[in-house]
Amino acid sequence: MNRTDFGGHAGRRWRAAAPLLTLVAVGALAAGCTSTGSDSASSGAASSAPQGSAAQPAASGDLSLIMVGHGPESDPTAVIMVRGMNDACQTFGFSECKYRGATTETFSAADQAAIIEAAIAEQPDVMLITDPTPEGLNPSIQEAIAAGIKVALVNQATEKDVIDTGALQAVAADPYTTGKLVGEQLIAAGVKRPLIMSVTPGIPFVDQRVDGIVDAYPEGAVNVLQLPLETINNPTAVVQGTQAALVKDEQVDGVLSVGVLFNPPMLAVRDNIGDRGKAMKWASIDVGEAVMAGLEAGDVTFAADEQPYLQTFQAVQTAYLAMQGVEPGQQFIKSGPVFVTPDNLEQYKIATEAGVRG
Amino acid sequence: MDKESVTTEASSTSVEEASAPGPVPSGKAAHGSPGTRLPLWRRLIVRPELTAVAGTIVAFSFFALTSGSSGFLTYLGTINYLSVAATIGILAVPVTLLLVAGEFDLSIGAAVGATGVLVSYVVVELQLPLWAGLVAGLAIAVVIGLVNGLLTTFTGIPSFLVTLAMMFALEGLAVALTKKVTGQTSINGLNRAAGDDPLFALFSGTYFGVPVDVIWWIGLTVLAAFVLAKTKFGNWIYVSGGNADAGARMGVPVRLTKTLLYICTASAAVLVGVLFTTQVNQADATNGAGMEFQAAVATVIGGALITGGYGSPIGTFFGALLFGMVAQGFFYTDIDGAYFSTFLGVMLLLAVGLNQYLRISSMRARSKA
Repeated sequence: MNRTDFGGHAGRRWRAAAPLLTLVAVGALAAGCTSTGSDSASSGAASSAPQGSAAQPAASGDLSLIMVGHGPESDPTAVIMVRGMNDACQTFGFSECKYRGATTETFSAADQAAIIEAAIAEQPDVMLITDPTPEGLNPSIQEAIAAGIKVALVNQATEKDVIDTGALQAVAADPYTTGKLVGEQLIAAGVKRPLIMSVTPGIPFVDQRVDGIVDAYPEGAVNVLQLPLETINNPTAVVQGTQAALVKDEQVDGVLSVGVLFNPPMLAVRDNIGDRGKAMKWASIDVGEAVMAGLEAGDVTFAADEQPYLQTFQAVQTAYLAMQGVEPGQQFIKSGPVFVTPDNLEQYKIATEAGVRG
Repeated sequence: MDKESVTTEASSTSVEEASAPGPVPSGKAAHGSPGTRLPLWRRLIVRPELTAVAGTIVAFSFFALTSGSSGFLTYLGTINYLSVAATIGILAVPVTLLLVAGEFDLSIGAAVGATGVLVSYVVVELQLPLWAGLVAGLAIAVVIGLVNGLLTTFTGIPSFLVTLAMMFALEGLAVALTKKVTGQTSINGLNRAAGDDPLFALFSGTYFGVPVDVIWWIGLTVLAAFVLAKTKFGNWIYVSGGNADAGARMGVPVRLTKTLLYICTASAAVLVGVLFTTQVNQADATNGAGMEFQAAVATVIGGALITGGYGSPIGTFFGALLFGMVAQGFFYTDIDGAYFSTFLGVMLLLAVGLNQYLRISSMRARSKA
């Protein structure tokens, strides 16, 4: 290509202007590309056109919502929360509904705060935010509220967080309470010496669930199996670790899985240990297909569901009503746990088919 | 020096040291007077497998002593750590061969989850027979292997980076596609759908008291050791890792060798993916995450050199055995399971350090003899 290809002086000016023109063109394209899919739950930094001020009750079809969670979108609980969010968005006429969550394995409060701030810049009408680390996240949540966005806390949040930040409401389950109630349910089922399939301490909501169960029992009655984090994605290691713990303590008469990832291995252990397995009680936190099959067969005594679907659906409803000028009557709504047993399974199945439950 | 006795020396030592020709002088050229051989203990001590075997004996003794009657020494306890070792060991076998050829594969962990879900999808959702699922899994393994192998050998990008990129790609695809078809990140029900299939017996069950994953592990290890020591392909592997340029000039198909090995690692991932699924009747897209490092640790403890050209499937066998024994052994003791990571790090350093020391001192010993 020749220097003079664009034609002398004019060419030089054109060539200088070209980068600038390119920038302008790209900017115009980006501004013009508004994503309008109402069901798209995309994680990542794709930005839409600014929504303008969000405080007035808008005509349906104009509303936008961003949810910022602390887990990846692939997380089984996040999947259910996103379903609840999408269904509510459709019901209440939101045109944009997105989930933003963890993108790396070492996702921290600082990372989540950064995503919250990026979301604030897009000026959605509503934000749903999970609050597992209030000290790190509450400042960003307050910023969102100050920007005129309706904010509801979901999944991991307390009444105190609502008061501290000024959010509309929290719809969540308290992991410690879940643990306590699960422990009581185990006692009612006749389990005197349970084994809890858990991980090494470090994940707060898991630690709190375990604490709750341990506190429901007399001192020393509960065995907690702490599987190393390196091995939790190795089903063989989880199965064998649990079987080792059962061999070590012959008096264990019940096993509880602390979350959905351990449910299939727990049921495999039940099959593997033959008669002893049939004589023991098996229960789980979180449901899922494997446990559903177990409940139906009568192999599983109960599953505790914290109802993540309800968390997001309710939160969207609260925010929508607030936009119409109807303030929430309660600052904290407990979403669960509810206990699914072989007796109430039929009800539960209807909900699962409707996609409402996991 | 009598030519005949030197040749006899050469052939007998080459059978013994078949696992370690590479950059280490094999001793063929370094013998002094005819009939001189290093003492047996000296020859044993320099084998790459030594550290792994010694480590296994030490770990076994430790857990046998500290766990007392809590079950470590029972049949069930043994099957316990053997099963876990097998899952790492199966992956580590082709990883060893690949490392001898001078390359890494970081994508196998993600491949375990992705292919496991694929096989389940074909059998459970599409309701096709098990062989169709396996063929689909292996077909994807070939694609993964081809991409890894061709990108590494043709572009000159380090295999570490190529396979790291593949790992990310597979992770995302596995989760996204599974969610698209089932709404969740796992597919349940393989055992129900395929339990009656005759092929199912290859991936589930216990034979003569040995679980099927352990049988695969032992079988693949023996096969790999044979291939590496006794076949032309094994020579090609050594040359690719030891001196690829010279090898290529001599007509060794370095690119083909490496690409085939990448297909082998991906295929091992399919096997482990299916074994995981039959264990718990569910394929999860996140199964196998992190195992690429565990397989590499087992390989390195087993004596393989990170730089290539040197390694032993038998050593890796003991490396994986050590890993499994330690991972499960903790549960039989009262030691806090959180120390597992620390233990792993220290063990790795000790093993590699010892391997290094013994190799170097063996080179010095031979050059003096």
